Amino acid sequence: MTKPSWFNRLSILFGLAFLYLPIVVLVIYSFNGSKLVTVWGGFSTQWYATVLANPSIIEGAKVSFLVAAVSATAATILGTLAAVVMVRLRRFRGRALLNGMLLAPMVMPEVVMAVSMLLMFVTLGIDRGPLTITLAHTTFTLCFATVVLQSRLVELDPSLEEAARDLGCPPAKAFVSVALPNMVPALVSAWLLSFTLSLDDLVISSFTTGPGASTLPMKIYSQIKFGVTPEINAISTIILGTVVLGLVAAQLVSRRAEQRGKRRCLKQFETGDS
Amino acid sequence: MQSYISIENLAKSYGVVTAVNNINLGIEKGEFFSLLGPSGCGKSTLLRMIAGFETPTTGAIKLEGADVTDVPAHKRPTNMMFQSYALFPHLTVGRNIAFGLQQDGLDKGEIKKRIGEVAEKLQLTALLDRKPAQLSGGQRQRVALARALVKRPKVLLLDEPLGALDKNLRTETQLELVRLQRELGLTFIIVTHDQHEAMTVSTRIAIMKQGQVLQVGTPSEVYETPQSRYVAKFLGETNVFAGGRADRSGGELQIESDEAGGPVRAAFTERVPLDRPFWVSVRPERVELATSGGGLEGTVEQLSYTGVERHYRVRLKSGATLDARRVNLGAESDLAVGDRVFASWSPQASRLLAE
Repeated sequence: MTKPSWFNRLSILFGLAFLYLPIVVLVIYSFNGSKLVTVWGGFSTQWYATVLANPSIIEGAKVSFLVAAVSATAATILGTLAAVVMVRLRRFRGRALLNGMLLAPMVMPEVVMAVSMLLMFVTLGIDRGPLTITLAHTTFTLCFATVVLQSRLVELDPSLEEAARDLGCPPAKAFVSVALPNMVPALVSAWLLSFTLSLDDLVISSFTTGPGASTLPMKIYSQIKFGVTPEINAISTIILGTVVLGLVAAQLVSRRAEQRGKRRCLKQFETGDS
Repeated sequence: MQSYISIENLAKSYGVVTAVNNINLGIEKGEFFSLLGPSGCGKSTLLRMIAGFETPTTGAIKLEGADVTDVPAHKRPTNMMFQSYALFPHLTVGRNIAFGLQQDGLDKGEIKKRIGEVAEKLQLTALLDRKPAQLSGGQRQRVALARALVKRPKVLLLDEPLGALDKNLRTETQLELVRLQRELGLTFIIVTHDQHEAMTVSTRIAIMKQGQVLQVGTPSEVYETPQSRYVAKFLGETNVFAGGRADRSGGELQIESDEAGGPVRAAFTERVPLDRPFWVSVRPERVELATSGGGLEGTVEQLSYTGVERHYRVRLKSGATLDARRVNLGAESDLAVGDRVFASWSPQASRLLAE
């Protein structure tokens, strides 16, 4: 490996600073003792206490976590079904189209999705609230879940399910008892990814919500209209922590599965082929 | 007479591609039957249709006289051993073997007893608590076999079962398979592209090419009396010369062959019409080389020594090559590269082949 030159080091430093300096500032100021956002008044956790005592924020957090949990679960289930169709049925009419349609929401402008979903809910006469936010979040996280699950299912030997069928297991039961247990890491990371995406969404939530149902990001956004308070910094840090935890957990789960695979190969190598 | 398994006018096509083209086969109870052919000849598709994973486009599969063509895989009395073994990675060896019995709803005591029996037969008793990832290739292969056998299928299907094993272990396992099959008295159908493997294990072999069965017979039948150039060349090595004018005297034919550069003698047979293009073939081990006498004249172009035998490649005067083999009986070779030799063989060693 070549040693990084001063230029390499500098570009990494700038890059990281560009990405993370604002966040670092936010986290630091969430522990600010002063009421003024821009003036450092010593270390304090008082704003965290204020946040936790604020019923409106707690209410928003509850809505956010509920929506994220339910929509992540729904997206994982639907994503599994979509992945099975895409991977197992190699040839059918409209396969390329379906594949494109599954992935399109990833690059579709969020505002467009949000408006279209709002229109749909209004047309169908569905009362807007936590339910409509959940439905909308399921729609937009579904494509991410599908991609994660699809890549796992591609690696899975299709003869596993055939073997189960051969041994007397009907096709659907074969999938549940043989394919699903071997997809657990992918299911977990698809769920965590969908959960974090849903948790920090603002645009789609704002468009699809109704009176009385505000998610945490929406609460923060509406508070900011009255100026940035240190309280906002504290909530943001909490959300940031949750998201980071979720992503790290997803990463760990998939890495552990990978290492288990590597250990398997190693063990085989050690015991030899006898 | 109805065979144990009969395959009638079976065909399978994927769109415009025909994988299996109108096959008729009868396989008897207790046979070790091989489907042999190069990759893409349709042998695996045929096996998968017998297992129930593929639906035939036309034709029927009958087992003990009962039509099973439309019976789904999980209800067929056949079990398959997969090329990849397809062991369930999340289950222990014991639970892998138990899987099929649990589907049948057998009680725990019976399951345990049958796992014990099969594990003992295949030397897996010490491995029952391990996961497939902790096993060697040979052990996995035995688990896959045990998992299929424990269901006591009417027919065991084996899809290239030894492809992942190294050569020494392969030979050992082939003999082991034959022993097991005799002991259990089951019907085995094996798919392989390895002619040596097919010859070693089978009672009968079906040689396939482009979705069709070219010839069916015992290993010695298909080796000694191939009916076509393809079969002769696919099974072992052989010398093939295009035949020309043929004169019959008694039970013997004198065949003019421009390719061989001289007359070749062969035993007369009514099987091959001589008014259409035909070929004469002779196996290298049947060719005798001498420094004088009659036969086809040529020079030794290459000599290779494999330990068991010496292999000579002779360039005939006609320009064609002729391969000959001599078993190593301890003596040094009396022939060297560049020597002038005469090649001959008995008329019975010649085989007439149609296209």
